[in-house]
Amino acid sequence: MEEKNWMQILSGQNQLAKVIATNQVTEKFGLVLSEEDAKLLVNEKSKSLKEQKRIEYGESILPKIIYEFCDSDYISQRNYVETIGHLQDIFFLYKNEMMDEISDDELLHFMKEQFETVCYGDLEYLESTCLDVFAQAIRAGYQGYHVTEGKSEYGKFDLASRWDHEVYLEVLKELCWR
Amino acid sequence: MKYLEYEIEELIPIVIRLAEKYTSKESTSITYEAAAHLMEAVQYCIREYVQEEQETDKEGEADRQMPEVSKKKVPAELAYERGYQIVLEKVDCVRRMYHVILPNFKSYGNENYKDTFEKGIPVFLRYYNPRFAPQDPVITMDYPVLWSMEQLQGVDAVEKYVEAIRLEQRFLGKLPDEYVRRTLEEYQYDYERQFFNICNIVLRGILRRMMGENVPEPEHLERAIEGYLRILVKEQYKDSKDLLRYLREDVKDFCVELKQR
Repeated sequence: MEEKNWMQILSGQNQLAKVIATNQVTEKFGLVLSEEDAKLLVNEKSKSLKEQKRIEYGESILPKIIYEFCDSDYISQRNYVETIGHLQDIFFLYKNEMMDEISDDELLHFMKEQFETVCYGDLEYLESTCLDVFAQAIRAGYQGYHVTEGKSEYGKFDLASRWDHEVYLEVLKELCWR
Repeated sequence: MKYLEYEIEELIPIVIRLAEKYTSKESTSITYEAAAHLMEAVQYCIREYVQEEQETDKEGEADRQMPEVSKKKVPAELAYERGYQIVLEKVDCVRRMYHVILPNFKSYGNENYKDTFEKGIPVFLRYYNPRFAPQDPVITMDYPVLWSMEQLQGVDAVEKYVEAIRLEQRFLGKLPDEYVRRTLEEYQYDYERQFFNICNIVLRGILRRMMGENVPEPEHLERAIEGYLRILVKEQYKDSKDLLRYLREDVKDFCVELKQR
């Protein structure tokens, strides 16, 4: 039986309508996808799945990614499509890197949290540092994220010393308003 | 694209359902490898169902598994579930057979025989996954039996394997322990650590004694060995058809050995 043929059938579901439907939620954050944008993202998703040798069944992850990130401080209409496309790629890459040990929601929560905080909207940093470190922990057997659903996890593995926001404001006040 | 009598499109919904169960509905995608594995799982169970139907037809019994209209193709989902039930029944059969054999099981000192049966089969019973990997027998069955296991997968392989052990134990159990051990030692002094089949060594020893000096010509050898084997099984093992069928597997190889001498 030709393996790739039946896998193509399995993943060939029309998800365009559901992607466009996300506009009903995202428009209040100033984010809207045209039909062309939605088609582009669906096509990008197919490419990404193929590259990562994964197959999607049932509901697509794309609307979930959109809902998770639509309230981000670092996404505007200008970079919306590109960012979602890149997030898709990162998502499938790390589902593989984490050997499917982590659920979709847990990974999305982790990605969103890091994107908003440690990464300050930098997708390269998210992909090459935060997620890489977390993936290593999971491959080594770490399972704490099941309890937290992927939230507040990175602090346990982050090796970089970071500014505490309150401390930063204190120091700034001291420097500027002596 | 068809598998047995089913179009591939009929099997895909079953694969999707299995994938959802496999991921506890926590993932919307799986790797190609996982998907292929689940498709094999579906095909394995459907094949179990189809084989059972064919055997039932052969025996000429009324097909009790068919729905109201007989001889109509059963939906793939139903065929899969029925096949899955057959797999569970076979696992149960292996379990029962194992527990019947175990109390009187003798390895005659051969470590591989002992480990494969006493440790290997329980591993199968514990870890075999009839839902997501029925095609995977989990264990390697290192002790070689006389039947070829190459074409078999999953519980089919293990069921046949345990049946082979049962027949070997029946054959060897009728002989004095000391005789079996001495025969094996004479064959190879360190037989305890070897990975060969001990049943055929003992069997060949007995058949040689039955032949005595009257070794037939090569063209008649196989027939003659078969004849001696039938006499042995008839006189000592109540003419057991199962045992004869099993021990006959060694006749060809035994003939080759005799011809080389």
